[in-house]
Amino acid sequence: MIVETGHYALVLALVMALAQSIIPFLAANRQDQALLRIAPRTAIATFILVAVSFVALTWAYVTSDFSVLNVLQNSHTSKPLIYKITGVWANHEGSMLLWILILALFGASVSAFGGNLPPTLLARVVGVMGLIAFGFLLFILLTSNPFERVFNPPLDGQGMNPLLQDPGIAIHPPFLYLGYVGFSVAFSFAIAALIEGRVDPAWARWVRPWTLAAWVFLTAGIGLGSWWAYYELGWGGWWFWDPVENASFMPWLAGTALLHSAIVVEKRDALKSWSIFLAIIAFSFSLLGTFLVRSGALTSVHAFATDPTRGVFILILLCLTVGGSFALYAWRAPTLKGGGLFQPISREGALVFNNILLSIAAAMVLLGTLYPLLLETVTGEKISVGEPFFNMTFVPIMTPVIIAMAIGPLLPWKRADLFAAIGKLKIAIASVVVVVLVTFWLSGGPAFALFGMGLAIWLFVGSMIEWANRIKLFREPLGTSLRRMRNLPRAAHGTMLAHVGVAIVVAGITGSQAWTTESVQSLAVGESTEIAGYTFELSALREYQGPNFAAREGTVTVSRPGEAPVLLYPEKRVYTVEAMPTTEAGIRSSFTGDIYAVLGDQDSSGKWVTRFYVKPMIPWMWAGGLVMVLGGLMSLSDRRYRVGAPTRSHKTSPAAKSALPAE
Amino acid sequence: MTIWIIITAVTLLVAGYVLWPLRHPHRAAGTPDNGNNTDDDAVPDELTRDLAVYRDQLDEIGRDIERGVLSGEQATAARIEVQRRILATDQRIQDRAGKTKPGGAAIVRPIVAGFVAISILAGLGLYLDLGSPQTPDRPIVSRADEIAAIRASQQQDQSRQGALNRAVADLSNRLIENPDDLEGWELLGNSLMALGRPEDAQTAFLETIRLSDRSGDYLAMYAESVIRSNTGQITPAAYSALQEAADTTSRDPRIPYYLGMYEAQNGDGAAAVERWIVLVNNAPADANWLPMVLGRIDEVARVEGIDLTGRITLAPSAARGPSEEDMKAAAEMTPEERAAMIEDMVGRLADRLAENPDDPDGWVRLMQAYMVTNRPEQARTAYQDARTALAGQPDILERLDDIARDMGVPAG
Repeated sequence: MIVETGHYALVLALVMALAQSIIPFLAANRQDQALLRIAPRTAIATFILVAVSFVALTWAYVTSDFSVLNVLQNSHTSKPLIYKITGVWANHEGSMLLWILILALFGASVSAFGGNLPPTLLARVVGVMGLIAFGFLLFILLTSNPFERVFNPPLDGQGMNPLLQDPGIAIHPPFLYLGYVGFSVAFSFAIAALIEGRVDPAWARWVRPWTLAAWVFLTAGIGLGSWWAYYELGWGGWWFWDPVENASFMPWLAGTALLHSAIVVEKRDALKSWSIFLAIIAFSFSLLGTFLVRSGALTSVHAFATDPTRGVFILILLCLTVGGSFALYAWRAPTLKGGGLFQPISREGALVFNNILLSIAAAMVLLGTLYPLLLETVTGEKISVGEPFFNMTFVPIMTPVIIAMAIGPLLPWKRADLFAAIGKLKIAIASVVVVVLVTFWLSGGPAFALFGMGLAIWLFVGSMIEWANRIKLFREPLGTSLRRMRNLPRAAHGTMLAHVGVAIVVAGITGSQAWTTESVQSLAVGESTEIAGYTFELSALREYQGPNFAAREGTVTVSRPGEAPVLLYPEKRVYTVEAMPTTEAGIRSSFTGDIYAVLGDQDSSGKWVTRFYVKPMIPWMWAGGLVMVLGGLMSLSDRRYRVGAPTRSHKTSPAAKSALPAE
Repeated sequence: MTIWIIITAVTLLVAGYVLWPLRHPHRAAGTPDNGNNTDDDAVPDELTRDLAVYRDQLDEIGRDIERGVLSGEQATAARIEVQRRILATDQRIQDRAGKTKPGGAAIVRPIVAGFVAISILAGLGLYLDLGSPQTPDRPIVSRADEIAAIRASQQQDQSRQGALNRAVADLSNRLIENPDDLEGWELLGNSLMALGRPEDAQTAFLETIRLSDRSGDYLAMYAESVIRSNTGQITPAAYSALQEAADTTSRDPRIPYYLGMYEAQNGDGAAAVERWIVLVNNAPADANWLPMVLGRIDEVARVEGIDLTGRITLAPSAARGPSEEDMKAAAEMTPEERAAMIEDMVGRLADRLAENPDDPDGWVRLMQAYMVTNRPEQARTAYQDARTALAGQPDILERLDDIARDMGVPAG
């Protein structure tokens, strides 16, 4: 009954999404007050219904209700509770339901918090989101229904991919989807603005917090995904330029560009048409990612079930959304009036520079992802566009971005003096020289490592200088600086943190790429090997039974002269229901880097195949990602995003009255 | 029932919530709500909203001067720019105010309400198509009895197997002393088959063949044990036994079934399907092997692209003879009452066959009933009627003749 209630709620959500895609446009066109008030209600109703159906499906998972086909195929009674819950989205149908839930959540949030938006704009935004929700609800109900029932349910399910039975990957999809789908808000604002024929600083101010929220979630989602790949897949890599990873990276690049161009729209009333374009592109990339993963065009860890009808359905949705929005763009964008003018060397100029390069980077990733697919479709030839292509194209594009990132925030709006700005960066230039020399002295290279470390320190110190200037650190008494720091808009702290985060990520990538030491060997218990100054000893082996797996756990003692030894516990597990082996790496992270051990199988001589890595600086990458997320959150909490929402007059009036002297 | 209450409640709640703002049909479109309305819809007008943004921008220019990012001259320029935007906003709002066209709400609102209602009905239809409203939830904790039943039946299987093993041991000992016991060998063979030891069963069935002077039934059993030992492959030994059995009078269904399998395994699926169709069309409706053979026919026919429409005419299962109640009742009757009941049943069967004569199984049962009640003349009449009724189906006639001969129905 709970299951069927969930199923009905999902169908009713489709009905509400249909209402949501028609009534708001009608309301906005006719300026009908009552209909304008219905518009947000349709979005809230859609969200509540999708939430009911999501809860119902989760309930079916938690109670192991195998009369639901989706539960039967993806769950098992012996799974720990947490993976019964995360199992809801560790499969095609459930993950699409999560996708829609998040889309509906954004639609409802815009409706609930959009009281300060012009009602017609709000209605049109809600309407566009309704159209997207309708398309995807139709998709899920007709091709991927998670509520399909089984009439003679077996007493146990078929289990879940053990690679996905991991806390990191469990929360990765919700974050990633919050990011992907979050761009639907910016997209809807863009489409609504095109329909209204109006983009102004106020519009940019409404779009930015949503874009920023989506960006924060997407950054966190990508970070979690790469972290999971690093410790779970067991070969120490963290990014493979896998098409599915690229699918999340492209909207991130476009979203980052949008975040910056929206600043220009807000502050300077310029770059309007371009920002609209980026908003459309960012969400189109999200849809493209969904298509690539769900259509079976790709095979990867992420492509759960693939089915041609689903692919065709999503391709049609993709073409309608992307094609329709670009057609609208081509028709309406020329009518948008440009605003403030600016010189090439200015804050705006720097942001345009950033935008152009980020867009080129996104285009390169798109090319590298789609070219092999197109080639295979047309000629049947299979090629792999791998790391070399991306390294060769990506690094030259991102280097100027990072150099400019330190300078841009120091430039004033409209027109600026580049040399004055660079002059403020004297300390940064000095730090680069010192760091490069120290790096060379400590490691002797390689050249790209010196280059990468130099870039990282440049950006790090540059971002700090800009922030220090704002609070007049060391130029005024410390007390004054602290007061200024408190008064500084939170967005300024956010900018600094996000840019510093990028610097830390660059350092982490450089360090781990340049100085990772790896060694594969067969060891008997008690034998040891030496890597990068560490002694790795396979000290013990034991076998134990987990809740739904059997495991062999090694104890690896890692020691270095003068330091206390560190114990690592790499495991090899076999999940009994799915009959699939997984490796659980033993990792010890510290400020300077990770030591990483993987236990393999027994070789012919009865020894154990082991792989050990020493990866300097690699945790910096995820720490940097975290700092970026914090920066985004800090910026999001800026009070500027909450103003422009004057308190409702009828609510404030009693308070105002009571402030008057009594008569 | 509960599900319908939930569906109704959810639907009404949602529709009510969404359409709530339509409850004042008299309020015209385009008229903003008056200020003293405590409704949830008093929103600040557009100018106020935009001005708040611009005021904040002016504040920021102040902060920029303080920071030293902007010079006084630049700040003045920036202020003028923001002020120009404020004027533009004001102008735009006034322009639009002139264009707003009120009216028409009286038509549009009912249309919207009707549209929502129709969509909800369509949604209900879609749910009825996709959903299974009557299927209850089956959480695993509520299925303890099923789990217990499976455990119990596993235990039962185990104890049955234990009993079978003991029986096999006893039987083997007896047969060592008395090797000419045909029934003993048959029982041993069947027990070994039930225990999943077809290789051992082969030996027992070879003994039955020897003792029965190569009876078709035993040849079929032997063939089956050979086939099961070879994971379903019809080996030459099994095939020759089957062929020999087919030439006997035996009507064991295993013979056509496995011969068909042989044909299917050797690329002649069409012949196999033909053979099996004859088998099932002549099968008693309650034969436990019927579903399996029907499954095979379906499977092979699909591979071979054979159209089965109208080919399979199973004996109607309603004509399965006396029901369980009838049997129970019969057990408690006096001989006279029992005779009357049988007479009644036979009469009903005869009446039905008169109406619907295309029922070979029914005819066979009628003939059998007459023979059992010692009325050979009536059996002969029934036999002749059956031959007339089934004249168009030569294979069935052939089998009918066989059966009649076996029963001892007087011919002609």
